[in-house]
Amino acid sequence: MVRRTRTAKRLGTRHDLNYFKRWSASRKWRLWLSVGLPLVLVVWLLAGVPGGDASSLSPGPMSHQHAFIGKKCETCHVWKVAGVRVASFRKVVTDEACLECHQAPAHKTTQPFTPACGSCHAEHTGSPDLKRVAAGNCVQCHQNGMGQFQPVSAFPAQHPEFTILRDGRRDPGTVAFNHALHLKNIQGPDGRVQLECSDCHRTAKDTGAKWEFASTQGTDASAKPHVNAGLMVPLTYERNCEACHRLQFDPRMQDAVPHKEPNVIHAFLVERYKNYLAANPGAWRTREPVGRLIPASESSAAASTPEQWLGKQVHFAEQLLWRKTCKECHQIDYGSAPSSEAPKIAAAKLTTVWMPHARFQHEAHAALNCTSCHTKTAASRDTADVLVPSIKTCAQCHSVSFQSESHAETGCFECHQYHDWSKRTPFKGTKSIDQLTGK
Amino acid sequence: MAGLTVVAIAIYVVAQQRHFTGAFGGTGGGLFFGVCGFALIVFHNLLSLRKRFPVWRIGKSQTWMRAHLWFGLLTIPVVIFHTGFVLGGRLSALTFWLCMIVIASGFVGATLQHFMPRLMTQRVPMETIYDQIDRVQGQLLAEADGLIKDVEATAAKSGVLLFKNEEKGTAVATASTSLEPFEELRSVYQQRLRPFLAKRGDYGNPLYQRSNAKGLFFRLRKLIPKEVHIVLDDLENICEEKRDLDRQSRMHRVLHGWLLVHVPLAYGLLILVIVHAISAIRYL
Repeated sequence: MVRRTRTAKRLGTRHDLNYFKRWSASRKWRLWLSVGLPLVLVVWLLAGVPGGDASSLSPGPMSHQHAFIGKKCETCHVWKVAGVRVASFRKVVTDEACLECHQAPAHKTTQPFTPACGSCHAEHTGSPDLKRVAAGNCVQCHQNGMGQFQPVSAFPAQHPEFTILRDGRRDPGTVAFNHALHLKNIQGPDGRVQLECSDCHRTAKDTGAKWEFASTQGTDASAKPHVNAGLMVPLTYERNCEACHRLQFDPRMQDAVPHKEPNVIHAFLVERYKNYLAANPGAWRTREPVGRLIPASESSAAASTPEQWLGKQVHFAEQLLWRKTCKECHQIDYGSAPSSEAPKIAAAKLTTVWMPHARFQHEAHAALNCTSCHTKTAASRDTADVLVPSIKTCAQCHSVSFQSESHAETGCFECHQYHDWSKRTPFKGTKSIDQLTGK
Repeated sequence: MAGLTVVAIAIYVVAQQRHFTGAFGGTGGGLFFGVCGFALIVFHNLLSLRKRFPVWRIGKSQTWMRAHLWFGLLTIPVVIFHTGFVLGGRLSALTFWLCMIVIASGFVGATLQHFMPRLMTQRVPMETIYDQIDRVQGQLLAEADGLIKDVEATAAKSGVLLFKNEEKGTAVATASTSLEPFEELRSVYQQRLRPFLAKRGDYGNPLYQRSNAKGLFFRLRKLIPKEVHIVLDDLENICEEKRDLDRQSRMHRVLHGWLLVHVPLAYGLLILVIVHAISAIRYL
């Protein structure tokens, strides 16, 4: 019987001395995986490239607006210089590619530099809205103030108060109006009424709805797109005042004078009294009621001729209008001219856009009641009061807080526009649907 | 390395303040980190070249490995800063995650390489060359077969067991009372010991547990005449050695298995980074 021995000599013969010349299983696996895996990855990534779909190489998802051309890289990635396509390996996006489909009026001629479209409207970030430009793009110039503008670096903390409030300006309007009085329970055309802000102030979209205290209805075409579509439409006498403040001039007449220039009113009065005289031939012989004599020193004696009666009636009516009715609201310059001549009525100068360098959408704030922002309105008695809310009011919602991520937008684009759309020109598209979508 | 990381953070903070919109990777700062990341990934892949050509005088392997590990750590912030914490599209996201998996697998491997060799020395005293385990295991089986055959032959021929000491060239004869215990030994060997010795990595076999093996050999020693116990000792040693080989196989797989993830993915990462760089140059 043989006893097992474990000597160095015997152990030395155990191994194949050439074992290292052969590849072990793990080494073979490593090799195959090292070759195969990169190959699979590259094939998977580049499978669509020969067919023109290089979306797998995209650095990020397209914006929602451009998602439909997401697989047509060459729609934007075409290097053009002065309209000529540059044959190159590089396929950078130039402004020319953007301007083939979009119009982008310049900002200011005095701006320090004109950024490329893509530097502000960054693609491949999956943005739901390319117009949401980061504040930094604006701040890089405006942080030191530009021209008449104050330095701005963030909203609301590093944003100046609105100019109209900062400079202590007054409403330049000449039409007298007492907000406080009109917001009380007042006499309306058919008894007492409690007015609401929307009885007079509405955006263009809401002008079609019924105006409770208007003599005329209908939409308003005065709202300009892109500029003040979200603002309140300018007030008009017919829609906002006439129901209560009728321009009556004679108890014998049912209708009121039109809210027009004095010469139009004069012609209107002459026509009305002529018609009255035609309907009542003996009216010129009657004495004038004392209550209608303005001023009281006027003679109440009957006219000697119909023409004289007509002149007196028109004169009495005009005096009533110029000296009392119109004066209620308008600033009237009687001058040194004879009382028979029409006075000069100051231009209304109603301000329709309080912040010409900013946009505002009342619709977006429809959930709020008006006085929560226009806090001074209920107490305002002076026409010259500026009732635009302060920036502090905006900051109650539009403010970044470290404590809370939930806040309303604070980006510059929310209120301001880079492109000067007043320089908009008719744009002629050149692409077909098939060209854009690649069908 | 900590200093480089601090510098990277400082550069990122400064660059981020000048970045307003879009992917950070395409900005000046982002490109700086991108180029650094690319250089680091190329450097990490050069380690395999260094290992392939050990005679090249381009620094010690140990130095290369240390640089591989430490710069691997630095790769994490550099790559993350390049992304600007936004993964982007399919290619960039895949490249990023592949990079992170490669780095993570590398650190798993580095940790294993730190602890496992010491553990293997303790737990596998009869360690051999991993690629030769099959060969050594075959030799063990042949040795065991030889021992059993020898016992059987001797017992069957004369009913006398002859123990031969090869080293001294002496022989000692011992008497046997019955062949029945040897039948039992043969049966146990064929049914339990031999299958265990023949199958590599038979971790489910009860004999893989030393206590079970000890119990079996204890029972056999009760049956077999004392003179044959020396054969049982040899068989027990063979089992012990086989157990070591199995244990070594298992530990080796743990010790080197991460390379099956790390190395192929590292090559895949290198390819993706090159594709990423080319596409960035083309479209940016």
